[in-house]
Amino acid sequence: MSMWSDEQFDRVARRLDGEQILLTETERQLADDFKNSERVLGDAPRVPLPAKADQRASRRIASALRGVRILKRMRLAFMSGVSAAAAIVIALGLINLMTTGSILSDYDSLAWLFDGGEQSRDVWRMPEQDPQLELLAGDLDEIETALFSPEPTPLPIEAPAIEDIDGDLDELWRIWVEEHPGETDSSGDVTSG
Amino acid sequence: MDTEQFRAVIESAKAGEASGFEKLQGLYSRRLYGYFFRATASHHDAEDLLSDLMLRLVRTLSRYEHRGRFEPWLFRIAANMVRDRIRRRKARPTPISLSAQSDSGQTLGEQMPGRPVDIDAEIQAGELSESLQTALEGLDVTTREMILLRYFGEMSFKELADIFECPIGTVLARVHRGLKALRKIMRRK
Repeated sequence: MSMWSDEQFDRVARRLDGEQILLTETERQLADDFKNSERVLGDAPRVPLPAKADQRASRRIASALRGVRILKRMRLAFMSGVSAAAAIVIALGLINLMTTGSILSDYDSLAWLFDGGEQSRDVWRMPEQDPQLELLAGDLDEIETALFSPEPTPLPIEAPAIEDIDGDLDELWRIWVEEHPGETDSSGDVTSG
Repeated sequence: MDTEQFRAVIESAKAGEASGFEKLQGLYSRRLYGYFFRATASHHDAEDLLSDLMLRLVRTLSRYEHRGRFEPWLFRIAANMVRDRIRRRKARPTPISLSAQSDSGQTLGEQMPGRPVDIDAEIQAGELSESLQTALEGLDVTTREMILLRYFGEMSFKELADIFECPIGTVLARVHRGLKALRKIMRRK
């Protein structure tokens, strides 16, 4: 059983934190007793930060920032694709409404509006109907869930797995850029959308 | 650094600017490393944990709401990472201590020919705090974390109260009891 009350512990803690609190005699005894107890740690030296550890942390930050940038670009690229497809569908719906007075229900019947090329048909297709885009959206969601956690959590982070994701992101982005020439500028940023 | 400057650093890092993270690294790396080393008794683990924490910081900071409680937030992550590391380490076979003496009176480290310099440093740091480290392991997890964060993470009682979500007086009472218990354990040994 402690000889000091909760309130006394509270006031002494604030005083030790630097608050201007005038301690009573009993509280001063607690503060002295506490400082005396701290001597048990007196010989423990401060641990210097090795340059190697600091440099490794710097490299990790740089690598992680790069990963985050890639993820943002991919998200932007994906959203650009969605916006373009949605805009076309809305425009076609309006054209149909104006010319026939009916709501468009059979989009494939309007395929003649495009030049018939494969690329145009790909753009025409809604993203949720495009297996590639669906796959990409799924990957992005999965990666985001794995990477971002809103609050500190006691769950272990497996560093190798995260590094693997870094590599996967790089690879995914490289493939996307190769498959979409002309849609990124010299810095690799998405220009369309 | 005043409150406004610190807020600007947080905002810069949240925007993904490298300079913001460099400043945060400069402000906290030494304290974090000290805490990690004392908590794990290993430079190798401390380096790993510091590096992992920086990675995690980059990836979670965008969701952090700054209300002047960055340190408790950061050190809570650090404490969780230490718990995980220790939990995983317990699941693995115990490594042989390089500083433990053998029958010949030599440490295993001393018996190893051509020891690299960083192993020397590790042994030295280990010897300096070996009795303290052992004594710390005799405390309950929360009290040990409070003591490590207070003295090696250099945290105030108020910050510890934020981390452990308890009254500030409770933190002092636990740390006080913990320090007394440490002394008893160390005397016994």
